[in-house]
Amino acid sequence: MTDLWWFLSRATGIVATILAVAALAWGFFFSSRNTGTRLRPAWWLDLHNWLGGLALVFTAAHLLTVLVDRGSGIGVIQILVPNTAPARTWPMTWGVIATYLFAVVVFTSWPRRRFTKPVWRVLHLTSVVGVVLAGLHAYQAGSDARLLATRIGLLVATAVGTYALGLRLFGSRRRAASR
Amino acid sequence: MTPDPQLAARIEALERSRSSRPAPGPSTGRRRRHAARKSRIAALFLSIVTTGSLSVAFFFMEAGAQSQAAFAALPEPITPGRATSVVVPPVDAARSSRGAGPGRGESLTATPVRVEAFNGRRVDTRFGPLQVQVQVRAGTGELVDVAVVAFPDGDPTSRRINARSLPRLRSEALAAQSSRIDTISGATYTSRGYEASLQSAIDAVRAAGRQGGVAL
Ligand code: HEM
Ligand code: HEM
Repeated sequence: MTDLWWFLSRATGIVATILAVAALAWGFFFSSRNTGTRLRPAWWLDLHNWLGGLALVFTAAHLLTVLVDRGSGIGVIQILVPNTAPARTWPMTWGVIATYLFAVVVFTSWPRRRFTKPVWRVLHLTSVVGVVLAGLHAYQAGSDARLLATRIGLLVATAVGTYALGLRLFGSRRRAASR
Repeated sequence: MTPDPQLAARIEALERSRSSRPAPGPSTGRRRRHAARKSRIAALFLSIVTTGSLSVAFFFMEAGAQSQAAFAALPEPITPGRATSVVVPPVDAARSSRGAGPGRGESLTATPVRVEAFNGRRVDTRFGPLQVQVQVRAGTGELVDVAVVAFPDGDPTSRRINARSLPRLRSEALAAQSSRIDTISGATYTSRGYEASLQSAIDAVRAAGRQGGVAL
């Protein structure tokens, strides 16, 4: 049953990716004021914060299981230092960078008041890069990446993320007015 | 409709964007108020359940591909170019997904057969070199078995993928008696490399004038 860790590492990786994409979508929905009337904006923001935190937690679980999985060929160094993985080097590098970005985004969001708004926002928006890199990592590194289901999943995730970004960029005149 | 909820929502949003402190969320310090408490619990629950279900699904997906056993089922490569006696292992090709009749190798089960080996081309796949060897019945050229001389085994993930795909590719080749084999999902590069190397090995058999039983 040594493969248990391998299965868990794949499952946690997939769940972390879904959570990160959801956090991204909820963040953009909130900031573009595209939150509808059924649920209060506060609900969206609160769930966003939670989803973002959970994404980091599941990324941590992913790393832990990858580490314990004897077959992964990944050690502490490979997790912390980009471009040190023996195989699939670049895909792993995307994962490492994504992990750092998520950590920055989550840990700057708790003591948010310590940052000025523009600084915080720039830091926070690096999460978009993080989500893209995580998706690339999953696509290039995963054992399941070549399965049709995975490809469809990644496509749906990309569509959701792009839609949310589109709303934020172009979707809301009211937002400008409400400032 | 009582008071306009949309307006209320806008006002709330406006207030939040004006205030220097974000209203909800962990950063509110002592006064923690989670507007999405139930949804938070639901999200956590769903995440854990999904992780569990996926792991179970992976368990069933990988069952039967227990790495070492899978490689052990593959025949050993033999020295090419001279007839060697081998005992052909039971061929499961007949029970392959194609539902083809008994494979040609089937009747040879457990009987020593004199075979000749022909190596295919060494194909560079994205993850490393792949080279197969066909073992054909001496004289007739009938495809008896396919061994693997080299495959990408430089990293654990490749080894796992190959443990799953190489035995299946062998079964398919034997069932088809040719290099016309289906790509195995999740092992596209291996499948293509295998197919290319196998075809070149079959070409070598042909060039040596042993095309008899091999349906090309
Ligand atoms: C993987 C984790 C996360 C991702 C991908 C993410 C992504 C985003 C995005 C894309 C926005 C919209 C920003 C904009 O349009 O200007 C946003 C807004 C926001 N996020 Fe996150 N976020 C994450 C984690 C967190 C966490 C953990 C918290 C707090 C604990 C948080 C708090 C906020 C807040 C308060 C806003 C609203 C900013 C505003 O509109 O003024 N985020 N997030
Ligand atoms: C230090 C950073 C990371 C390392 C070393 C790492 C390592 C790995 C490894 C070794 C695999 C291959 C597992 C396999 O399929 O055999 C993998 C797959 C995967 N990782 Fe990561 N990862 C990292 C960060 C991340 C992050 C931040 C995410 C997403 C939020 C993520 C999501 C995934 C996904 C979705 C897969 C595909 C799983 C599958 O195909 O079933 N990884 N990772």
